[in-house]
Amino acid sequence: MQDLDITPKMAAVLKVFLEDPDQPRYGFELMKLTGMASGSLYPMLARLEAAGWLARGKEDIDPRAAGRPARTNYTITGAAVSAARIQLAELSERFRPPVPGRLRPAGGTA
Amino acid sequence: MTGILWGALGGSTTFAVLAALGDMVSAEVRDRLDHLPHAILRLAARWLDPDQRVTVYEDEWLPELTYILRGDEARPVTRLYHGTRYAVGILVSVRRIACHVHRPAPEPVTAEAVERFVSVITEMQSLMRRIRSTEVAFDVARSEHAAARACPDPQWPELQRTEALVNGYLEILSLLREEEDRLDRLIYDEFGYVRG
Repeated sequence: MQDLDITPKMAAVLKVFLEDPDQPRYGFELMKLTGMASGSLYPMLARLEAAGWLARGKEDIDPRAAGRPARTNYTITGAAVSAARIQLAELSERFRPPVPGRLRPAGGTA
Repeated sequence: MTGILWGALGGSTTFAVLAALGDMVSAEVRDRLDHLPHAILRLAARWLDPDQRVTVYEDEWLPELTYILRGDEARPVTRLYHGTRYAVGILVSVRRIACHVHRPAPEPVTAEAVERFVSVITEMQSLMRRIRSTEVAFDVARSEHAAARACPDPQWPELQRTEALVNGYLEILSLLREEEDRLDRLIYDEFGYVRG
């Protein structure tokens, strides 16, 4: 698995996968959950898959009964779960607003 | 009284025909609009390698689009909106997607392939030299022909000779250019190169 620089958009996608790591996710479903357009989402999915963070699978349906072909889905890989948690925590820390200083009496010196 | 009855009958018939026509036009428009996202997606797929087309276009984009167009929320306007938005998004980012999607490793280059490539390139170089020398000879013949035309009658045989030369070189050049086109196509088809 390759290291990746996690962008805020990528973090939003990984967060969905981390909510239930065993749950396969579909492109259109991810678009709705993250509010991202397919133009942003699909290059990211391809990148995550190429880096070994996501594994590609097939929807478990009977295409004839469903009247449509089985969709491709993605699942986060075992190794990527812990890496994603660490990266998301680091990203969250980076964007955390600073804690305001302690209050002191006006005109005083701490 | 009969006129009123005929009028009512005619009116209701016209109404029924117009309503049926309206339904047919509506169905036709809906059917054609449903093809729009598919057409956009097919356009995007043109940017993919043939191998990527199977894994990405046929296995991923197309089933997802079908799901969007036939899903639970598939009201005519909603499905057109979601389907077109989905397809357009992919169209604008298809190059970035293609960069990351796995490509099968290229086949190893064999000694025979290298030998064939060198042979074709050598043939092309030799052809280019022949074209260049024929062009020079053609220019000389054309100048001589122009000079002959400027001369009076005693020079008439010279005019015929130079005219025959010019036409001869033109024919040779035409054949050489055909050969050049053939080699260009061969180099592109077999090795994927074009001359810059």
